[in-house]
Amino acid sequence: MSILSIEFLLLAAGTLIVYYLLPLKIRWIALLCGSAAFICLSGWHSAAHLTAVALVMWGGGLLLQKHRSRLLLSGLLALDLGAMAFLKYYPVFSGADLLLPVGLSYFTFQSAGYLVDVYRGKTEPQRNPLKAWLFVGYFPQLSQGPISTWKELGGQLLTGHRLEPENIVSGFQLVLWGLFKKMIIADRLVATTAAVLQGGELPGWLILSGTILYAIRLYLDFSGGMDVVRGFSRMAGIELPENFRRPFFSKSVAEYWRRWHITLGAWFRSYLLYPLTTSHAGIALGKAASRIFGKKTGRTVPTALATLIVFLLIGIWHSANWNAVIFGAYFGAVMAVSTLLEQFWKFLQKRLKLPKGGWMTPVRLLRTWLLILIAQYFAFTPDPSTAFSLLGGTFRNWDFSGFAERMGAIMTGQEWIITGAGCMIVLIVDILCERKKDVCGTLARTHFWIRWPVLLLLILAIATFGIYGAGYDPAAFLYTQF
Amino acid sequence: MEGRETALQEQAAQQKARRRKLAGFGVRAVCFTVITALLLSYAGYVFTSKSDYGICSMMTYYRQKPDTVDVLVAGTSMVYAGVNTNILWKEYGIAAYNLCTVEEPFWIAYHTLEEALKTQHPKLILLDAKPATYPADYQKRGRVILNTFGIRDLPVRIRATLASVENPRDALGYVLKLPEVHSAYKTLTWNDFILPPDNEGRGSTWKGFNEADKIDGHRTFDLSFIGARLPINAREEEYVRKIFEMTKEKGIPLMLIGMPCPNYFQDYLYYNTLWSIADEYGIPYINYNLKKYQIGLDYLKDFADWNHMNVNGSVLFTRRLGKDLKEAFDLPDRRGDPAYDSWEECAATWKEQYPNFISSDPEANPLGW
Amino acid sequence: MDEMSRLIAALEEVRDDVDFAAEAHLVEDGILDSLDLTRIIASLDEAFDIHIPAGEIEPENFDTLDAMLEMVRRYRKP
Repeated sequence: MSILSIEFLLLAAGTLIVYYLLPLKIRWIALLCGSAAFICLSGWHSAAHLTAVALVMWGGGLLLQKHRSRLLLSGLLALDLGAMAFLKYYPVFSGADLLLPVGLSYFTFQSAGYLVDVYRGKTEPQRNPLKAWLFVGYFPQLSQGPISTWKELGGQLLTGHRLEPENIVSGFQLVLWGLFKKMIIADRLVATTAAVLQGGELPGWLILSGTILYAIRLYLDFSGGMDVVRGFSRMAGIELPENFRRPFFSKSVAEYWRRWHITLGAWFRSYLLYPLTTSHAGIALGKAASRIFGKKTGRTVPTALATLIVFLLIGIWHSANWNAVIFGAYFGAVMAVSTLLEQFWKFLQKRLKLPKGGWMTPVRLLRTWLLILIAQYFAFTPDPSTAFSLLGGTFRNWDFSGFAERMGAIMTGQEWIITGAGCMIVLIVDILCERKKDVCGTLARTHFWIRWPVLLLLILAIATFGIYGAGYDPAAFLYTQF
Repeated sequence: MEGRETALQEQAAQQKARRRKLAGFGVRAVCFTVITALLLSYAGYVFTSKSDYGICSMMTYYRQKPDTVDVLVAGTSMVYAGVNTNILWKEYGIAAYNLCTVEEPFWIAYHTLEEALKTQHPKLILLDAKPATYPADYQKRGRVILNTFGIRDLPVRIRATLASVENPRDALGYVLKLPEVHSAYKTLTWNDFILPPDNEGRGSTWKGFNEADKIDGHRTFDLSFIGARLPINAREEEYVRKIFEMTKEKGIPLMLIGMPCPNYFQDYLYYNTLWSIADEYGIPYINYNLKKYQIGLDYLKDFADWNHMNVNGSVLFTRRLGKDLKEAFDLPDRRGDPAYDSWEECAATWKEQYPNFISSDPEANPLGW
Repeated sequence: MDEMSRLIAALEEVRDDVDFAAEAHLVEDGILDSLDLTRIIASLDEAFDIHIPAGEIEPENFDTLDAMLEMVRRYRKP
C-alpha cells in the first residue's frame, strides 16, 4: 500500500479517530489494529515475516535479559539479518523471484537494534508480545523508515497521548508539505531521469542537469515521504526521528551523511561502526598505527577502515548490483580518506590562514556537491558501464543548439515553470529552517486566519498540480523496495 | 485540607479550560474541513470540461422551472443534434428539453432519467435507440463517465458511476472528480470558472439543442424489408429494460426513436432487436430511417457526419417529429403561457443565429417565425 | 595527577580546541563527532587502561566532563 494511496489515507485517518476515542491507557491498541490491517492488506508473506521477526525479537529480548550471552545475541542477529539478506540477495544470484515483505530492511534493522540494546542493558525488554509487535510493525514507518530505537519510539507508541490541537495542526501541515514535495515536484522530475537514460549521443549539459535533478528528485521524494509519515505520527502525538535535515546544505561529505537518511547512518554507527572501532582489534589497530603515524592520525585508522566497511554495506543494502557496490565503495573511500587526512587539512587551514566561514563556505558547499554528484551517476543508472559512459559523456558535446527542443521533449514549458516554482518554494522554506526559523511551528501556532489560506493554497496546489489520477502512474516511492 | 481543596479546584479549572480549548479546536477543524470540501468541489467543477460531454446539459436542466418540461428527450449526441427544441416550441408549442450526452449508454441514461424525474414530470420521454448498437460492456476510461458529473444528487451519481465502471475501485476517482479532471489545469479558460456554465454563449434559456454545424455528404440504403436481428449488448439490454420499467412504474409514456443517420445500414440489425424488446413492454417506437416517413432529408446536404444531422437536417427532421408527436400524444400547446417564457427567449435568440450557421438553409427552409 | 586532570589531558590529546569544562552538550551540540568519540575511547584506553564498549557511546556519557569521569570510574578495575 503506497503512502500516497487513498487506502493509506483512509487507514491513517481511521486509526487516528479510533486512537482518540479510546481511553488513554489502551490507545496503543488503535495503533496495533491499524498496523495489523496495513500489513495484512500488504500481503500474507509480509504479515508472516514481520510477525516472525517480532516474535524472535520479543522472545530473544526476554532471553537475553536472563542470559546475557554474546553467542545468543549473535544467533538472534544472524537469524534476523540472515533472513533479510536471503530474501534480498538470493533472487539476484539465482534469478528466482521472491516476494519481498513490505519494509523488510527497515523493520529488520529496527528489531536487530532492539536486541543489541537489550544485550547492552540500555533497554528493558518488553514483556507483552503485542506491544513488541507494535514496535516492529507500526505502519507509517514500514515503507521507508525512519528506523528508531526502542528508547526513541517504544515509550511513545505505548503511552496514550492526549489530543493536543497543536499536534494535529502541525502534523497535518507536515503531511501537506510532504505531499507537496512528492506529488508536485518529485513526480514531475521522473521524466528528466528517463531522458538521460534513453541512450544515444546526449549533450553533456543534458546529462549533467539530469543527474543534478535526480539528486533533487530523490531528496524531495524521500523527504516528502518522511514528512507524510512523521506528520501522521505527530497527529497521534508520536514524534518520529528526522530522517533528512536539508542535506544539500552540508559542507562536507561526512556532514552530508549526518543529514541524509539520518536514521540509517545512526543505526550503522551505533551497531556497526562503534563496535568495530572500539573493539579490542580496533583499539589494537589504532595503537599500531599510532606508532607509525603518530597518535592524532594513527587513531583515525580504525575509524577509516570501519567507515569503508560500513559504506560498502550501506551501498549493498540499497541493492545487490555492481552500481551499489561502487556507490558504497566510493563514499567509503571518500570518507576514509577525509578521516585519515583530517590532521593534514587542519594543518593546511592554519598555514594558509583559510577562514572557517566567509568565502570558504561556498567553496566547501561546491566541493561537497561535486562529490555527491559523482555518486549519483551510480544511483540512477542500471549498471556501471552506463554510469561511466554518462560520466564521460558529461564532459563532451556541450552543444546548446537543441536546448529548447530537448527540454520541450521532457516537459512542456508550463510544467517546467511549475517544477521550478515548487523547487523555489522548497528552497526558501529550507533556507529559513536552516537558519533555525521554525517555519512549521510558527505556522501551526499563528492565527487561523493566516494559517488557513496557506493550508488551503497548499491543498489546492496539490489537488491541481499533483501527479495523480487519470493517465498518471504515480512514480512509486523510490525507497520502498529496500 | 485547604491545600487539597485548592488543588482540586485548580484541577477542575484546568479541565474546564482544556475542554474549552478542545471545543474551540473542534469547531475550527469542522469549519476548515467544510471550507476545504467546498473549495475542492468548486475546483472539480472548474476542471470539468464544459462541452458536449453532458455537464452543461444537466446543469442547465436544473435551472428549468419545475414541472414545465413536457417532452424530455434522452439519449446520445444524435438526438441533441437532431431534435431542434426551437422548432418544436415555435411551430408546435411543445416544451422540450434535450437531456443528452455524447455516446450515452443506457446505464447512464437510466440514472440521468432517475435524477431528472425528481424535478420534472414530462408528458412524454423520447429515448434514442442508438445505444442498442453499442457493443461494449463498459466505455473506455474518460469522457463518457464525465457525463455523470453534472448530477447533483450524490447517491444517484455514485450509482451511475458504479454502473459505468468495470472495477468498483475505479469509481472513486470519478466520484471525487478531481483525480479524473485535475490535469485540465493545462487548458483552463475564464469560462471554466463561472457558474452556471455558459456553454458557448447559450445561456440559461438553452434547452439542450447542440448544433452539429457541418455538411458532409453520405448515401443511405432502404432496409425496411429486412427483419433480421443481432443480439444487443447484455448490459445495454439490462438497462433499457430498467428504463422501460421505471417509466411504466411512474406512469410516464416513453417512446423509442430511431434517428435518421447514414450509418443505419450497419445499425438496423440491432434496432430490430430493440424494437422486439420494446414490444414486450408495449413501448411504442418510431424508426425515422425508414423511407416511408418522407422527411425530405437530403443525405448529401443535411448531415454533419455518419451519425449527426446538421442544422438544416434538424429543422427538417424536427418539423416532421413535431407533427408526429402532436398526433400521437396529448401534448399541450404552451405558446403564450408566461411560465414558458424561457422557451420563447431561447427560440428568439436562436432565430437570430440561424442565418449564420454553415449548414442552415434559410432560403429552402425559412423559419417563418 | 588526579583523575580529572588525567581525563582532561586524554581529551585534549584528541581535541585541543575544545574547552571541555565549559561545555554541557558536547555530543548533542555536535561539538564532538563520531570520529572524536572513537579517538577519545582509544585515548581513555591508554590513559586509564580501561575498555569502554560501543554500547556506552551515548550522549549521556559524553556530554559533560563529569559524565565522562563517572563513566571512567565505572570501568576502572578496582
